Amino acid sequence: MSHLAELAVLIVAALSGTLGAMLGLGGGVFMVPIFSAFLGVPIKTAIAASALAVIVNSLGGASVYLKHRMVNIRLALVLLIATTLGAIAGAVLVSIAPVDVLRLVFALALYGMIALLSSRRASSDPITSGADRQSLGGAFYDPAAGTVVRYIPQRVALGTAASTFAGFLSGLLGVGGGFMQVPLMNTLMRVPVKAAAATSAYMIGVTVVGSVLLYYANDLLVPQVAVPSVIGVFLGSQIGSRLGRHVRGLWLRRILILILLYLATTLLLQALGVTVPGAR
Amino acid sequence: MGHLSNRLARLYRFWLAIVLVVLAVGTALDLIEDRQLETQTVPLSGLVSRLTAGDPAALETAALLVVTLGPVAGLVLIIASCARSGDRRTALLAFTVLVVVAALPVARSFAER
Repeated sequence: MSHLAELAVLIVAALSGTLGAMLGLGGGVFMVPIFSAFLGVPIKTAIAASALAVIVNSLGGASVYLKHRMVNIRLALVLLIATTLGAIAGAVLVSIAPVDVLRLVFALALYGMIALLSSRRASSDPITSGADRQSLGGAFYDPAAGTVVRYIPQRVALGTAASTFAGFLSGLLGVGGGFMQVPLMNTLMRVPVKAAAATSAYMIGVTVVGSVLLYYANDLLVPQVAVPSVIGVFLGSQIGSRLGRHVRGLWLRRILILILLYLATTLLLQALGVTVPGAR
Repeated sequence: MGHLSNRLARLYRFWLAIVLVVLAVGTALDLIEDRQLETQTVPLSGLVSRLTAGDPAALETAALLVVTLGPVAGLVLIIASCARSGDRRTALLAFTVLVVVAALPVARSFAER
């Protein structure tokens, strides 16, 4: 790999880190296809480097969001248990499940999330009164709105069950869960999109630790790709998490919808047997 | 939770600072040595001995491993802080996450066989 290619990896990682930290995603959805399709990085090496970059993105982004108290730690822990249990089931079943059928189900689920995110409900005001039996309510200062936003997550049991399903699919398909967690929290649990993105930014780092250790054990972590990825994503996460606080929630949702549309279409094409460059 | 958020944010910043310093030193030494970044990480069995010998590849590998353990350190901090402040529920939640996260690579290794 030339120094120019390493520089390209760093730039792509920085851009992915910026977008990922803004939206509460890991950034792997951007990095893996670009690394493998355009920079000649073998797909498994790209996946391993991007998983490591997800951790850096999570640490960098969440440190800013945590400082501004936008991460709902208790909600994150509840959802993490569900997501990771789902991911374990998915990882175990990956060898026996009909992957194309699951890709199709997953694509349809993503189109459903896009519809939910586009609906009025996603943009409606959060629920601020009523019972908070699990003590999962949160509050944060939104600089874009110039006010403190308070919220009480709704349908926690349903949201947790859906998180298990999201984790199951992510384990099965070997992807992170951020792009599913943010719409789930926002549309189903009525968590404001900024708090959802911040909470997801914290969660994604915890979710991929086990996978990265396995990649290291299997010699898939290549410093030539991983080092520029780590540095690039760190820089991007610092920019993205600061931008994410100041950008209006509506714009965050619009960008998220575009990314979900890309992912859903990629999965649908794969399910139908069409080769998508750089897709896993 | 506000106090815990601040502590966690500080831990993450500190953790990243250490990683970036070690990574910068390792990368600089590596580039001075052969003008190229390593194409393989150092296995865990030889990591300590190569670190003490000042091997740049070992420094890079150590930085990558330390950053991987950042979220785990965060969970340990949540458990310790919440247990000390009497918030047993959050401590138990974080402990359960830790156990479940540890089970994931075991499940993956099992599935890959």
